[in-house]
Amino acid sequence: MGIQIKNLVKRFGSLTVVNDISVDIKDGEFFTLLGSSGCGKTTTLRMIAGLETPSEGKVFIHGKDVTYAEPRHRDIAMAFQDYGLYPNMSVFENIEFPLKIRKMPEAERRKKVEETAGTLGIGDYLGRKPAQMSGGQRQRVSLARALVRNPKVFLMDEPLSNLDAKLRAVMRTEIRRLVTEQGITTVYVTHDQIEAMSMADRIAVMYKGDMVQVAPPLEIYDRPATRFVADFIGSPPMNLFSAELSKGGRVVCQIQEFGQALDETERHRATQMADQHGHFSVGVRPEHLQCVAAGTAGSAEAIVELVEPLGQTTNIYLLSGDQRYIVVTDRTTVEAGDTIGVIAPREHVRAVARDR
Amino acid sequence: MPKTQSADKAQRAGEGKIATLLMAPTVIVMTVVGLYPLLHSLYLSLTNYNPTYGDAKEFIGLANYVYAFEDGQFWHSILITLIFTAASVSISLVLAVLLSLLFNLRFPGFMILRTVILIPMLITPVAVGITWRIMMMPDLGVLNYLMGLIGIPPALWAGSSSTALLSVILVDVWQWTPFMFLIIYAGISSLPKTPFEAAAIDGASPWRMFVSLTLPMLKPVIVIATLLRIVDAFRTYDTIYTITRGGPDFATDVVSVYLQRVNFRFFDLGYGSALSWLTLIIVLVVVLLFVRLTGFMKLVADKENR
Repeated sequence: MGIQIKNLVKRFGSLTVVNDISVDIKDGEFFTLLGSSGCGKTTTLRMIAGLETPSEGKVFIHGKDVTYAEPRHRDIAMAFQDYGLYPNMSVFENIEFPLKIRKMPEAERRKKVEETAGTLGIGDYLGRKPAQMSGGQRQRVSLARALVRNPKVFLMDEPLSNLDAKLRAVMRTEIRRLVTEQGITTVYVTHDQIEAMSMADRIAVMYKGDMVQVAPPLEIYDRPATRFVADFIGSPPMNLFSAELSKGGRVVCQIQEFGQALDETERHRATQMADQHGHFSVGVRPEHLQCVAAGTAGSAEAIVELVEPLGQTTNIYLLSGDQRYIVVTDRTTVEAGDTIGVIAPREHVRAVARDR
Repeated sequence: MPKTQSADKAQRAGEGKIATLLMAPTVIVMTVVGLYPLLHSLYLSLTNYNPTYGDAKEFIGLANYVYAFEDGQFWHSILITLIFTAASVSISLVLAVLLSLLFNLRFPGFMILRTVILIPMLITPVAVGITWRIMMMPDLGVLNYLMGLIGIPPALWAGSSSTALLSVILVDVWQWTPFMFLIIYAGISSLPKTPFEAAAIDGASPWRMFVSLTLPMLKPVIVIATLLRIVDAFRTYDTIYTITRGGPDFATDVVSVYLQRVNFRFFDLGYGSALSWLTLIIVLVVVLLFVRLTGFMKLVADKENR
């Protein structure tokens, strides 16, 4: 059953923060809400948690309507960006708190706390106060406090964003492992596409209160539905070229060679997603574009503006007409000022909606 | 090297003197108006100085202090003061915490109400005393009139030795709860929000949150506010003097009223100084006890370590 969200709307005054969202999150699924700040992802999560009351719509957890239920009656666990630890309690007391409220006998409580703390590698710090711990350790405490009561639903609000990059990578796999092992339905809010890509079963990309695409990570990456998704996911982002469907179904693209590389399926999608003027975008991921000698058949001519060697890969910044775009390749001998040809392979060219 | 970038040894050595120079005004003023009177009163307490008998005074050693220990009136006033302080501070503390919790709900209109609530502490204590004395008059006072409207029999208020102390405690609570409220409300509104959200999700009831989170997190603020109020309540003078002058039958004869009588009515300045010093020591003991019991120093240290 998992979590069902039906036509959820949240307004603060005249501002609509979440705009008619519906989604079914399956039991045991790791579901990620991804978007830039202010897109409504945290508000959505807080409505699932019961910390905000929806303006419209309904929330179901395990088939039960909890739209207006208090947080404590929802049987959920939550991890916060700033951890939300109880500063006056020791680590042990922090983790023990939810069990104490559930009136679990003391011996059992102690066993449970020690076991969970052990799993998260904070067994040695049980006597400390949160203020005496590092960010990573604090986040482990908050995870332990959430996991200690074997929740069915676990909500996480950017739990890793206050940690340094290395620790984030470690915690990513750890969180994923813990919740998958226990089969917990997880809703995970993040603005970090790498977190979303690496952890999620499904990603919902949010933009200005709308859920613009809900799909597994690779599908989001390979077939971004809208311009925003294409631009938001991937680093450097997908190259987008404005295009137009003419009356006869012909595609006119800013860089004609790329427009012609659209295959049948994508052409068909283009007809569905183009706006009333026939406008849409042609998108190609930077790593899929190929640099060839200028004048090669089917290639677009481009001037190299800048070459950025990153070690593993190289970013080449190109200019065709007045359109700037990026190619990611292996090491290259191309230099700034060169004129080269660029080929967009047929299987990697996508039609992307222009709106949103 | 250009002269502007470097200072010679003598210049650097002179920097130490700046601190002395900056402290000098404070040190001088405090010595003249603080330290000197303090030491002078210590000296007076060892004499039988009484200006109504002329300027002559004799050094009589600790005789004043010995006499003070047998002075039942003095110990009576100390007891009254302790009762007054304990009652007034604890009642206003409870009220202030409750008010802070209420105002923290941030209903519309609370902003204005919050300001109105602070007014009592802004009023001159003498004005407070006069106003309350009139309101508490058994025959003409508005309090008995209002009580009559809802069927409560009239009270004698400050006019009876059995209710006088309660009456002045009521006035003190009325005047100083706003002060406690101000500090505690500031403390409550600056508490982080997420621990409470986490507790709500962990399943804690509102009462549980109050006991397990709000109170412990507020402890430093509560301790500081209470400490300030204890010191303040101990030296309460003007309101009580204007309402009861320590009466009836010495029921409200707090130590500051008694000290005023000895020092400036009888002008027994030698003995009065000795009593003042004993009072100072008693206040210090009370404060130190409080500090010890609440772990105040540890709270301060924790705060600094954060």
